[in-house]
Amino acid sequence: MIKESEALNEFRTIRKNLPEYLKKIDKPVMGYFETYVPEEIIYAAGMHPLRISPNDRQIAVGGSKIESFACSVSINFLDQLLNGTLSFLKGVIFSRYCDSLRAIADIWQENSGDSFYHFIPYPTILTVESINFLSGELKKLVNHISGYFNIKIDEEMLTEAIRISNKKRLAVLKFYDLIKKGKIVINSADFFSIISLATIMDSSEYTQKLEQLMQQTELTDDRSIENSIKVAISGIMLESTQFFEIVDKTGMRMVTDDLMFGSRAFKELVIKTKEGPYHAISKRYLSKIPCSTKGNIDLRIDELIKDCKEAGVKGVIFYLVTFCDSEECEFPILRKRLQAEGIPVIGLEGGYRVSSEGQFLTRLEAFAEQIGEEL
Amino acid sequence: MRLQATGNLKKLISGYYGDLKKSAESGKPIAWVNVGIPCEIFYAMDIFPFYTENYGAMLGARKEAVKYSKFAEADGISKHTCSYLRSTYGSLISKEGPLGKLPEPTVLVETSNSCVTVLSWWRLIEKATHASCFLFDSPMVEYESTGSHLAYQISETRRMIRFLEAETGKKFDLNRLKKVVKISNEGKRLWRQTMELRTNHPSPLTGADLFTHMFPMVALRGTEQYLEHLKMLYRETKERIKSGEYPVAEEKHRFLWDNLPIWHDLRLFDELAKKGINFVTDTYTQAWGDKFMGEVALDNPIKGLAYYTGGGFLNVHIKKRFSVLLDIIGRYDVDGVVFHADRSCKSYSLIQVQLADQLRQKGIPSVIIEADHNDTRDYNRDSIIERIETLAEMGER
Repeated sequence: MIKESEALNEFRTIRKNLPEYLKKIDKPVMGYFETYVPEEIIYAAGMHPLRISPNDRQIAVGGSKIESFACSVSINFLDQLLNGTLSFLKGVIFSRYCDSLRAIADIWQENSGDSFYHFIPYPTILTVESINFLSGELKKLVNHISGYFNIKIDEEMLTEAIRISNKKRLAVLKFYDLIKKGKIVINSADFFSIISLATIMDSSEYTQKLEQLMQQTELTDDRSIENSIKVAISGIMLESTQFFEIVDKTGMRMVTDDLMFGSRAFKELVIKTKEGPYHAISKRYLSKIPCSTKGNIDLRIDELIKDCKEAGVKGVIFYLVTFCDSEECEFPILRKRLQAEGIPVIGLEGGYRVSSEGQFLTRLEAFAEQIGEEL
Repeated sequence: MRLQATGNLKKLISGYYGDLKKSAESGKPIAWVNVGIPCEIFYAMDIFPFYTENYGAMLGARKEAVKYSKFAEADGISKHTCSYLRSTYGSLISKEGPLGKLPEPTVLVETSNSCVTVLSWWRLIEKATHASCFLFDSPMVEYESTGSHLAYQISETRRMIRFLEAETGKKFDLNRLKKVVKISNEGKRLWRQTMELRTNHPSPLTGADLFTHMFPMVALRGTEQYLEHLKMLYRETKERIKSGEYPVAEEKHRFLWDNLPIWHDLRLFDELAKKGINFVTDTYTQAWGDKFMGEVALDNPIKGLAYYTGGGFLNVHIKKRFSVLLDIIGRYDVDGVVFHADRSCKSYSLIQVQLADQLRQKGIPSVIIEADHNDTRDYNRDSIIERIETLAEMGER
């Protein structure tokens, strides 16, 4: 039975006690905030790449340093940077992901003192020139890390880091595939916990645990939640275990996602090119299924529809973080496209954490009832 | 003591929108562009550049933005998004507006050098119009576009020209561009000189004056009417100093405005002027000044235009924003800064608390007021005036 899986319990424990896990990391930790910052470069530097996720603490100092119409995820990040929660980091790396995070980068640059700070000027399009430009910028990042920490990063180390990241991506993609095919049946909260940890835990450790989990669960014949209604969850930074627990309470079950740190973070591998590892990494990150902040809406929606069909999804839950302009504009387009495909969709809006459980529960129950009837 | 140039400006604006309609009727290509795109290339290629932000500002100034935003909101666009986006998109999909139905674009050209929201805005326009769209990619820079960044901006400029040639059938001619850029440069010089006249005590112009007269700087650079207008504006501004006829004769406070103006309430500046508060400079019109859109060398205009596209005001980091702020505070003898936290412009607004903190450390007082450049809902004029007056009183003490 999957609930008894040792690996699953380990993932649950890590997710629940994240600060404890982070304390035990025996490498210098470099933070980043979104999945366009190449983790391969941080690995190659002998560091632990940590995607910062919103925490559950009440916003304090961060709220007084930025206007209230920034998205709450960004305000939470700023709060964590300013209140010392992230003081264990050796530095942070930003790119221009969205207008709110770009402001956080600027504010932090002015408040970070001597700690390592780097901003990657990021192209938005995929052309030969944009790949070359990003390659050059990634070399500058490597030079900055090398100079600041007095370490050597060569192409061999980058190649090894690429191998580790690709191995993790393949494992994650296999995990998604097994869930889509019904070979693994797992509730939404556990699915979220496992996926969110892929960009938080050490890659090799994560891959090993995930492979262990997949081995065990493929052997199980437990199908106790198999009759729940299959849904996909779409959004950017929906990082609240509580939200996924609410979904489970309604008798629905996430079987695929379209989240920034979810499937969109793993779908492409870094493929070796004759121009070398910088070029290969740049090409991969510019070819990613784009977030709404990158403008290419159709590619993202096409991919979501494909995933929904493969997984036999009955509906899509779209979670919008208030004041995220990109998602606020993309949602109406996404809704029209999904509806045209006969896929029901519900849009929910809120902050980085669930503040009105009752309201979400009521709306999701109604949605579950609606799509359940259509089964 | 009204500026004659203000009357001329009305003619310019109606001429610009008249030309838009004429272009549609005659089959001349129309490019819908956003504000970071260099219009000189379009005028040189005989393509009409329709600036959506400018149209949005017009809807705002006419207090019609909410009317059209409601169409966008009914289409599912959140009230929290940019009001330029909502009002122009609403006008587009409703086929209503001061011009009636907006003329169809031949092409769409956007750039990422102002904000990420533009990308969403243009996706909506693209879906509604089905026109071919070009994204001029412009990654952020620390201070200015140099080295590999400038090389990338040049390659993007060339890629845009190739796109325009392919989609409109118009041929690019470098000599023609040089002629347009020459006129553009002359106008930029006059604009800079006019802005410099504001350093005079009292200032010959109010905040509202320059916000209003920036229209040709945005949409008409390189045209004859642009040059004539800027000559007129400069001449009249100089005459005001010579004759001693100032719009705020008893200028007790010389303030700086940061961010877009509140287009639906430009009279706010008049109201404050009655109390001796004059906005002698601002960061927004400086975005078309020599630090962010200076003159371009005629021997290589593509390189020069690419340089300023890459280093646009909202495409640089906080250190440059702060250094420009300090520079103009000093040059214009500013004694207080009003930060307009514009709900509809996150890329401009979200670092203002930090900028205000840094100014405080240098002993420069400031106040942050919250509003929206186009949306009149939730606008609290009394509270804004009160806060600005409090800033003035602090200075008096």
